Amino acid sequence: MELGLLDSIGLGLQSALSLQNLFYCFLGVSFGTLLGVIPGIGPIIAITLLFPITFHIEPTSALIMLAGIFYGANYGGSTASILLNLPGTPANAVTCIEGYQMSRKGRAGVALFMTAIASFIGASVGIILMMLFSNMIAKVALQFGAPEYFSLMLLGLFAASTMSAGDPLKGIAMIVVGAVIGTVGIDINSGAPRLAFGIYPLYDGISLIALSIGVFGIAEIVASIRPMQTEPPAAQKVTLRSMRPTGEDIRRSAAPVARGAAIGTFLGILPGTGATLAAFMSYAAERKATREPERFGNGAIEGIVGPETANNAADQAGFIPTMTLGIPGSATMAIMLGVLMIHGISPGPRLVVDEPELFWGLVMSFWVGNLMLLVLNIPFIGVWVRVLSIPYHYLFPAVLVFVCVGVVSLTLSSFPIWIVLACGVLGYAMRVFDYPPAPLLLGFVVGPMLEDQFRRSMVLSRGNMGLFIERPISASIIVIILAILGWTIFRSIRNARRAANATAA
Amino acid sequence: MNLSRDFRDIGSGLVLCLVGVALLIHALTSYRMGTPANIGPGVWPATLGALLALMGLAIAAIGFFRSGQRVEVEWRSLIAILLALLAFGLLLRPAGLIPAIWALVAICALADKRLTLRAIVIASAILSVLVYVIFKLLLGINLPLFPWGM
Repeated sequence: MELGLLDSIGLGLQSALSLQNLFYCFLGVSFGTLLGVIPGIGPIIAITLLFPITFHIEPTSALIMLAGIFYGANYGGSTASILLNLPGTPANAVTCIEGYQMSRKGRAGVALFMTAIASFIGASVGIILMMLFSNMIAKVALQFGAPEYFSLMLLGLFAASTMSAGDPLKGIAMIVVGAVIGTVGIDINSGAPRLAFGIYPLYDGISLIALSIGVFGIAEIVASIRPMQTEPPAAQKVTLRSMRPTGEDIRRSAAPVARGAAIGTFLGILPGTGATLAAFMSYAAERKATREPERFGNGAIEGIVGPETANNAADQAGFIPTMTLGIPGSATMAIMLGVLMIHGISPGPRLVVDEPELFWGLVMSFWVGNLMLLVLNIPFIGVWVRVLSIPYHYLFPAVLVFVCVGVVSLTLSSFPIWIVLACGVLGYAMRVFDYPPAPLLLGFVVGPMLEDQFRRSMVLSRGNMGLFIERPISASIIVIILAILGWTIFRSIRNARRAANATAA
Repeated sequence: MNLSRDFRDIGSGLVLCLVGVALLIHALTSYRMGTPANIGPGVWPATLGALLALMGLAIAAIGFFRSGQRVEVEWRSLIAILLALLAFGLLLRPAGLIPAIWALVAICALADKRLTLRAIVIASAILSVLVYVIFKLLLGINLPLFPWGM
């Protein structure tokens, strides 16, 4: 059934505005912000931590709540950046630069308010794009076959590991490790148990939640206990009145917001680039575009609203390939995809076309959720700030308790605890040896999908591996992969040369 | 502090390489490879193993020619958290959820001296109540809270 845009919107609003879904949206947004405010806890940990609660509610509502947690956590992270100079997520690191300076000048309220508005505008641009293009993308994607999906997923993995900061070799290594962990369990095609070594609970595979909470959450806690023993700086009191921006603030913010939205949506849709890169690029763009460069580093509002618009736009736009193609471009989207699959929802073009109530209900709930964030969280800033004053030695045991109980509640057995433990060790080892965790998660979620598409392609081509190059769409994607590979190698050589010259000088 | 070679990368790279080789060998010997048109369960793990071995080798090789930093490990935090998780996992079945929570929080004190006995008791009590309300009352999870199976 062809749904026009207006019909789709109507269908979605019906779902998103139901009392039940409004409630869960509110729950997601609030808990997300609460957790996002805690330093070190970002969207990934927030989603994994709260997932057990969503496990027992109906899929559409669960999805809406999870999405709410996602951008709630992002918003909470911005709050911590501005007030405490502690980035909640890597993308918020940029917000710290100008936001904290504004805070020290007593303008925290304005910074927080403008961040909320900028975030809303960024998200709105992303949502509008999603609304306009989803049906179109889904229709095109329905014509994709296994080889196209294989190449696309390969591109996503490749881009994610090489374009993010850090050593691309280590990124690829982590994707492979993640894929290996994803292989554990019974192979659907042959029924053969793989890498289970006779341990029966492993036959179902390793739980995404346990893996994610171990690698991200446990590792973060272990690394943070001692550094957090120094007293956190006291957060400012923020009143509602202090939030009113001046006319000049608004005037200065208009162009950065526009630029940020463009940068953010563009980078958000591409696989491998996301909110963090968008935020940094927006900051760089603002520094280039300004006529008063001396303002930067001293609390320039342009340096907050631009990046915040960009990172929210990127986050929202990241949903587009995830939901319409079923291919996540970042670790956070990989978790989203993973938890959706646990709920029995398979994102992709089939979902958009066959289950419009679910898809459009989600899209409309994005509006609702972001609006809630804007309207509700501004008055409640004081409450979230109070959370920041809880000493870490109360916070981390609390997080551990919720991790353990949550993870155990999913299967009613204590086996996941051992997975969490093992993954915690792995995650901390990765930190110590400087390996990026996000590609691990991507590899874990996308790896099995990749194998499946490869096997189907081979069946299709009757064993001919040239199929990937023979089919035009797949071939062009492979060319892009090779281009990225070439550029990465070039960049590494150039960096190595620079480093050698620097030490020689 | 800089070292002459990046031992961190050399070590971790070699470990990854070893794991990759082990996986490759395991896949080749334990699982069916099938035919190109109908690939078996062993193909993917073997490919991943080979790739991992390659990556590990590359990382170690590059680390050999680069200076690196010392490895810094938070041993106290790591061991404390692991013991806490271990305690929870072991106590859950025999003793129930609440004693497991108390044990978890208590062992966390090993990691952070500021977690005094008073703090442990307060935190454990609050968390027990929260867990009860959220998981037992609101979500209806059927986990025994105490050894006597409530």
